[in-house]
Amino acid sequence: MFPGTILMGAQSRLLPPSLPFRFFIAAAVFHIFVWVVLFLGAEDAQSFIGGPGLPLGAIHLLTLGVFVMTAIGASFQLLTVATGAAHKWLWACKLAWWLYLPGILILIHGFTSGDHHVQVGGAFLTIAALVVYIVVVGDILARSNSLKMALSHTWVGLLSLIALFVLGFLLIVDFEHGILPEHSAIGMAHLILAVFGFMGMLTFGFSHILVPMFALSPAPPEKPGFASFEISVGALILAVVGTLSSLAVVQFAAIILGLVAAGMHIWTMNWSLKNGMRKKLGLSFVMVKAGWVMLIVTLLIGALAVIDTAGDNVVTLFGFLALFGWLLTFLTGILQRVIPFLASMNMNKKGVKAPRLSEMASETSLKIHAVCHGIAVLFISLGIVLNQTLFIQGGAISGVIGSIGFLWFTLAIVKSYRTYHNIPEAPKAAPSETTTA
Amino acid sequence: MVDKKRVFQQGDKLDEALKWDSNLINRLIMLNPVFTGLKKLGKSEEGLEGLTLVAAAQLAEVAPDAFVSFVNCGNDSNTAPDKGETSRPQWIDGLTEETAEVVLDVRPIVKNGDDPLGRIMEALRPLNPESRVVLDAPFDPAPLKSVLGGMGFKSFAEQISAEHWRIYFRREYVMQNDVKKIDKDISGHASLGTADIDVRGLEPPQPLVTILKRLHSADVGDELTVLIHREPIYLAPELNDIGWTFEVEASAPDGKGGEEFFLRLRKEYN
Repeated sequence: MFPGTILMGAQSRLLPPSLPFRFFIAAAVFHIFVWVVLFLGAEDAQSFIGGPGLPLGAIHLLTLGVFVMTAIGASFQLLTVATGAAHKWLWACKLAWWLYLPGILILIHGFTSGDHHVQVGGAFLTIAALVVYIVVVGDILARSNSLKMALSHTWVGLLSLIALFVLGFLLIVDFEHGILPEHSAIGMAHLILAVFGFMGMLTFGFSHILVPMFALSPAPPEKPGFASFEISVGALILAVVGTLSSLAVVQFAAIILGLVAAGMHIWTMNWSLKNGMRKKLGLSFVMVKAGWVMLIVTLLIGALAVIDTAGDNVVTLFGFLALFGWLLTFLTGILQRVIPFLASMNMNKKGVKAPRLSEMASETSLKIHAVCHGIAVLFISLGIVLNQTLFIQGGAISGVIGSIGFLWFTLAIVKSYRTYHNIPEAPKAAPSETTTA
Repeated sequence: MVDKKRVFQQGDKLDEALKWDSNLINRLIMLNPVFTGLKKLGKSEEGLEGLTLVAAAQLAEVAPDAFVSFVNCGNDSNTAPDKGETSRPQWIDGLTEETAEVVLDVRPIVKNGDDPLGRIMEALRPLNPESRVVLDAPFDPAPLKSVLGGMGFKSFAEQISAEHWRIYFRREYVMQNDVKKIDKDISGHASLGTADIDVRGLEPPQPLVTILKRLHSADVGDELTVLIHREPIYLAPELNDIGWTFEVEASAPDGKGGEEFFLRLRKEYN
């Protein structure tokens, strides 16, 4: 026994807090700009199906600025702690940040301005950052022999990421040189790989760790979990093949499989919630559950788009609901728990009591975010369906207010963390003394 | 099919026991509905990979030795069940159907050919310490007394007539509420000694859940020791939230390229 040894090597799996938090704070800031740019491009957004301009900028502010930014920060920190495999190269995580942030800023500027050279420059930096990310995360996954469910999903997510940035780069080249036979089909395949491939797989996989952890439940049953994984991979492949080949039957089969996979995933997550010790999961899980509902709604809208009977803007609505309805709702819900949790993991100074998770930030900001986010999704959906720019603008304004609320919450957590670390550490304790967790 | 000779130990895996005894899952559900989700899967052992009987006992909120006896009693093994108290204890004085917190007659249930375990557990699991129970049964249910003993119940049985036994129970403690009464028989790693809870081999979040199940409602100053095979980083926020602190007292290689940790948890504040 070595009494008094505090955490010993435990910190080795914990990154310096500034590393994951820079990704989360950046995501919260980009979140605001998503809505701002969507407001500015509202007129083009209602029937947007591709091409440079403000809507494309808004979409990539969301996908690259919010989703991938969050995914990188969460993967770097959560996977090491959950799998027990420490980072081999911390410098690579920092390199990813320094490539990624300027990369996406340049790329998004290129998308909104339509400047091809800016797009190519931004794409190079962004892809370089993502390659570093894939190597770092792939190394952790390769050294892990537990958490099969989360790891399987993450592997497919990484493969999807490679495919989606290859397609993305081809689309950029095509804007200038017209090399692709079917730009819109490849654009849709790129979207599907981004939403259901990379982000979808990560969302499903990480949920198998995070949902039981927050609900304090046993791990969800593996059989339906793996069945959901296998079916969702099948759905993803069919969706990409069906889109690239323009075969409606294949696309429809993909959606049916997607619905089955989503249903099974939601069932396993609900199993965890029902069997969890913590029943009151707060606003966070209201958002998470709303995200699950929106996933099903998105797939149903996708089915309408495939059978082509629901008007001109149904494809736009499908894309909007997938990105803003499902992923953004779910992500902001789960982040409400992840961000304070990660901050609290780093609050372990000797003799200094860490604040409880609920004490780290006021819920008011989250309530504002939830209400405004819901209004935004509703209004913009209506705007797309009814071809009403005003609705989209109104929704975007609501989104801006909500996203400011979310940034407020994120910064409050950071402030709480800093306040804690500004308190001087207690004098060196006697060997048998315990330490505040 | 049940192997009559198989006697499970605390370190054995629950999925093995479930394969040996096809009715075990039903009995587990009656013992604690936490196992219900497994039944719904059709193959009850799914999702239990690596779960030892010790860990399953923690899920069931039953002391490990009593839980193992419970698992084994379906095997007709040689495991001796708890016989309860042999001489009439003082706490039975004045205990009647009127003064007992719970009065239960399971004879009609048994007569119908059903297992009364679920009904009994449903009535007795929520009881607080010092609650007393009068149970009427057609025989002396030694295995039941054994498992209830593992949940903190003292018992005494007396025969009223040929097919009528009256069993008295008094709850001494609630497993999850009194960490000091946690069974100390769990064998630990040779270099780390023994601990109150052994969650090695469990995948996240099961270690966290298993530990937290034991911590709620403890008194300030209570301590609990844990053997865990992962750095306990996830524990800190949850422990802090319920007023517990922890200290890593020792670590040792686990023989598989990783490390195991010996933690001491302490309730610091409410």
